[in-house]
Amino acid sequence: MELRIVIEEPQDGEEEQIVIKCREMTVELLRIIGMLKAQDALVAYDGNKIHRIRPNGVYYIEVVDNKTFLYCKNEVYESKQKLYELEEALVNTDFLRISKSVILNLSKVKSLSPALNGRFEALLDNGERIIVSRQYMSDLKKRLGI
Amino acid sequence: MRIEELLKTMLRSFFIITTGITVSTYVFCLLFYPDAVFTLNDIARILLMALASDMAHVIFLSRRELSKKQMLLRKIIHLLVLSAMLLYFAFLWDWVKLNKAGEVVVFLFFVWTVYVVVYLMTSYRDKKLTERINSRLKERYRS
Repeated sequence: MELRIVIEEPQDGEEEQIVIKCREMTVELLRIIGMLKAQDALVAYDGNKIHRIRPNGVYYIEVVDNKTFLYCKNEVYESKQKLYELEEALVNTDFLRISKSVILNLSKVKSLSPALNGRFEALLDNGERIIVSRQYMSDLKKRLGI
Repeated sequence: MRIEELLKTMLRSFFIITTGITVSTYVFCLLFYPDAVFTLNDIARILLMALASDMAHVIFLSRRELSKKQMLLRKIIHLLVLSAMLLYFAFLWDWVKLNKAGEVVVFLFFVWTVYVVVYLMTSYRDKKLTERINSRLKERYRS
């Protein structure tokens, strides 16, 4: 799908806005909307219901069978966005890529422990355990200033 | 472990295994064959043995990150496969006689010692790193 991008200067008194003109809502458009809205909230789906979730309520984001899921304290939502898009949207936040398929909210990590072969296991506030891949350990160390 | 990570691990491990085999061979020969003479072929065999042992890392290949338990299980399988491979090569090149139980036991002892030493060294390093990370996490998010 080819999208024409038009940038116009707002008139005096008019607020800055993004208008999307489309004939039908496609998956691509949903992704773009998700990316824009991730500035203050992530768009997620629970069946047919659409939710806006604040990033600080998300524990981690994982891709399973090419589908992206947002894991909150007790709930799981699906996102139409790709993992790399969410990673870009959540840059400069507490989120960090910790494996090929997971982005972790570091503020939800209770502690870390070794998990063999240079990998680590993160214990989250809600009791869940997530493996931090060796490949991404340097990013974690850098983020924490080690 | 994914393929790109596996290749990096294999490259790093090749040098560790080569060193381990060389040191073990030296001590083994010192104990059982103090007059042993090594030829160019023997050096090539040590390198070939290290390369073959390195291949056993495919056991860790996985599309998803393995849990601690899964990794531990694969590590045990890896050690058994590695021992069998090294013993096979040692027998093939007449370094160890399978009908001499003492030689086999000492040979396996060396293999497992190298494995355990490497494991303990990496565990210690990981433990120290964990302490630093946990301290930083606490400072940043829990204070």
